[in-house]
Amino acid sequence: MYSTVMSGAVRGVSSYLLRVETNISDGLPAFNMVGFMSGEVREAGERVRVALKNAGIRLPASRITVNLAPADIQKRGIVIDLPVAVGELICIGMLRQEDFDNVLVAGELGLNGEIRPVRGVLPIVQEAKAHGIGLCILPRDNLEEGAVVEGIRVVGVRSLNELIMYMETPEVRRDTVLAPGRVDLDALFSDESHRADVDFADVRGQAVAKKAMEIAAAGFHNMLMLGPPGTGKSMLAKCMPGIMPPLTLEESMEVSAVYSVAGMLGKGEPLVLRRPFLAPHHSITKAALVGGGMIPMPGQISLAHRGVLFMDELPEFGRDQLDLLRQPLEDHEVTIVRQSGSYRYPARFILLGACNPCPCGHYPDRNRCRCTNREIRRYLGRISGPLLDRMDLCITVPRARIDDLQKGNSREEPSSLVRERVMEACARQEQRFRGTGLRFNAEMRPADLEVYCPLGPREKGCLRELFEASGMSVRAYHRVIRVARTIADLEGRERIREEDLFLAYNYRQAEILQGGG
Amino acid sequence: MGAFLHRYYCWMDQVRGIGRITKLRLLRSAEERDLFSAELTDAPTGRAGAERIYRASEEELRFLCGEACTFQADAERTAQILKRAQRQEPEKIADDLRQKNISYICLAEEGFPERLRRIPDPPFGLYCRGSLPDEDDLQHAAAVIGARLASGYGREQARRFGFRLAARGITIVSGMARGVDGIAQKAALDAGGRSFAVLGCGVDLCYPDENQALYDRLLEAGGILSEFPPGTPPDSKNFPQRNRIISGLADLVLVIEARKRSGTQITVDMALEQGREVFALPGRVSDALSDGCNRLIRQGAWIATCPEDVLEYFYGTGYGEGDEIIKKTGQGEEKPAGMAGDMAVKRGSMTASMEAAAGDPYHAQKNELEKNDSGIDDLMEPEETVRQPLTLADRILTLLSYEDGKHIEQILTELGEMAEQESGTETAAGKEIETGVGLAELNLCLFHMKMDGQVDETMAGYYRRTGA
Repeated sequence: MYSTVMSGAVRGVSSYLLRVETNISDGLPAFNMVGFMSGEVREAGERVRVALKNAGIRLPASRITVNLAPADIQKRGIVIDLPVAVGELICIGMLRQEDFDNVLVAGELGLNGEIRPVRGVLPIVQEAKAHGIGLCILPRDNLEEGAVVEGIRVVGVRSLNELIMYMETPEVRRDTVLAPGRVDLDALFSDESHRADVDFADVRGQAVAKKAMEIAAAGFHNMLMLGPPGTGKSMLAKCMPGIMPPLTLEESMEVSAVYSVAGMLGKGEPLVLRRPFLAPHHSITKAALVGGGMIPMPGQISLAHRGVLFMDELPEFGRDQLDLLRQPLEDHEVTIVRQSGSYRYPARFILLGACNPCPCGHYPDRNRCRCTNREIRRYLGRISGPLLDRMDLCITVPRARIDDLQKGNSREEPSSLVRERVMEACARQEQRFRGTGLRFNAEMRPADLEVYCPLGPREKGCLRELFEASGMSVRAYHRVIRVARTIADLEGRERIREEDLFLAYNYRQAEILQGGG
Repeated sequence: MGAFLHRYYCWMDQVRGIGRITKLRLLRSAEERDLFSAELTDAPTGRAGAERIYRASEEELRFLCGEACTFQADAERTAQILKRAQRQEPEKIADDLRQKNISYICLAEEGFPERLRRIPDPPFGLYCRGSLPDEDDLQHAAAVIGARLASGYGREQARRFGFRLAARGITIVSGMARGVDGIAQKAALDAGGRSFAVLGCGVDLCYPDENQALYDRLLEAGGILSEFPPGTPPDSKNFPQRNRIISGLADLVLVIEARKRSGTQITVDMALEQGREVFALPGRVSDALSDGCNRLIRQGAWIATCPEDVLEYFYGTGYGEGDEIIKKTGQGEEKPAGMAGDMAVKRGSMTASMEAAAGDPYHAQKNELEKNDSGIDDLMEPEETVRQPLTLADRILTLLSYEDGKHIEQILTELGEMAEQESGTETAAGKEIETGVGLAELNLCLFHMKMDGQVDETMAGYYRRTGA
């Protein structure tokens, strides 16, 4: 008896369909699995055997062969228990092959026959839909995650027996046995509880920093904050997701796919709805940061996709770690090559760095700081130039004044107001970059600047003045224009004006790090 | 320079393992033995002492050392060291120095700064690059010293004092260290004055290396001195020692900024021991960097509030007050300081500043900006100018201090409070309306002020007033 069942597996954040073929034939009783798989995948056979037995199903003492096709992709770290079980059930006649012709099955089996959740359901269901599959049978716990994909029928099963019962029911009455999963996307996205933990209104003062963050959020610019400890850098950073536009469905799918692969989607949380905010500790390893492992898992930069990667105490991260960020910051994705192939994870995030201005943290307050200029330079020098070049905004954050702390927060602008401005600016960018592949001002390359950031003679003169007065680099020059573009967008202006350039110029980095003099 | 070079003294100076006091005693006993009974401090003429030691037989060496050392064991050791040292060629040592363009003068030689010779514990000799300080140089000399990690205030004052003192013919002696020392010396050279640096390492080394430019300039307009042989690396134990030479060369010691316990304090102690006057620049009591100075003042140091206070000490009362003197040295005066003075007058009264506003470039700039704004769109409120009788630049200047940088964030908030107090009724939300001044506008204004030298950015985002 031969059967074939479709399943899916993930590779990076993309997935591929897997065909599980089972054959039971006469011969010496044996169980063989073939199809270029690693040891842990092979363990499925043993689990299936026991689970079937505990579900009250006896397998005949025959020769069982399972093949995973395609045979040229190595299968590692995937779970194919349920498809194998279904294949065997078809072979022994408990299920009908024709019922599974257009069906995808995924799930892990417990020895007691219960069906447990697996990773990567979202990309698998998306792939299934793309291949025209009509029904996905998933573990009950993964149902919501799969149901997010529209235009495909998904059901969730708790146990083998439930699955058998469902499939034995004539097709027209199946919905009464197990209702297909449905997720109300509109309701999910309208839920206001998915806001950032900290609101701008909670942060007193720091108007300069807040403005810079608004610009960063609007243009997707990376940003670096320098300031003594305890000035609210981390608190400001935590506000960041709250002033960014809410995730769109499309973005949410991208982010959720990463989380699904990483097995980090919570129960009852089918999609990631908040902008991710990740704040890795500086002891993080390179692999954890950009992704890695024998079967590469997404790292922090991919988990921060479409969101914020906040790196507090930036110089304390090893130089190796920091330099690893350069390529993802440029390409918005990271490619990890292993023996088993190369894996590509998305990594389009805002890098938000924070660091102290000197080793002791109190510079330029010379009453407290006794770091020498050399020490300061060495400390800040741990942030490499190329990384710094990718920081469009660099600001200093001063110690908060007691007046600001005591006056109450009635006058502080809440995040929601800022977010509205940011969203308007985003809309402007979308309109401007329609059909170009660009999405945010931060992505503009020098050639794009001439197209999208036309400058009048007055503004050009102003830039010339700035350029000559400060001896800025060409990169810095472009950075100023890019940031000025976002500032103008926030103000709702089509043309960049002189004051935008000056404001942008003030968010520069060179002098912050040379300021030790 | 060759005129001062006496190879036997060089040889003796470079003998290692014998202290300078012992060396001087040796010299004296050798001379006495040579029937030169003159006091050392009376500029003995011969090189006979040193030459005699170089050429002495073992027996003679033992005798000389026995006279110079208190303990027999020391004498034995010293004699052995000298015996070994006799293998070195004085000619070669002298040639080496000449090749490196370094001159040397021993305490016992003529031309050694008289003043330095008279301090307790004088150096055995001085190595020198550039020129040795002569009588003229040392007629009026002030040591300007202070913290290496000076504040903005300290830097500014070091510059001011260094410049003005040097412009009026005072030689500035210091240690060419980071911070106050180097800044004062640089300012002195800028003023066209003379300056000498006493190093804690060999004169052929520039320490700290960031002062290389100053080092090169000092070779032209002064000199680099050290009691340590060329090639001696900078070592923390050498620095307190060299400080006694700094104060020893000067008539007075001016302390710009110092912490409670610091190298500067050591110099002051030495200066007092040498009978030099001590001037201290007062600072705020809350500044750790002014602790040392304020304490000195409490202990009776002279208060230096302006360079004239110091000049008075040199030239007598009245000097530095009359116009005549200012004219005399006026051509060397710093431009920014003068401008700042004008500005201060302008800021004197509100009305004056309003009148002056027409000619004020910042005001003009702002007007232009506003005009421009209304030309493009009407985001800016027209009442804004009415609400602000003072120009933005004026307001900013009143908020900034000369000492420490103030962050732009704080300037913005304080400007807002200022506007609030004036109009009394500000309730609208949003920083723009609240303060009457937007971040962009403030940035623009600060940039122009910086270009004109009115303010200075101590670190990105931190602004400070310049001038004094």
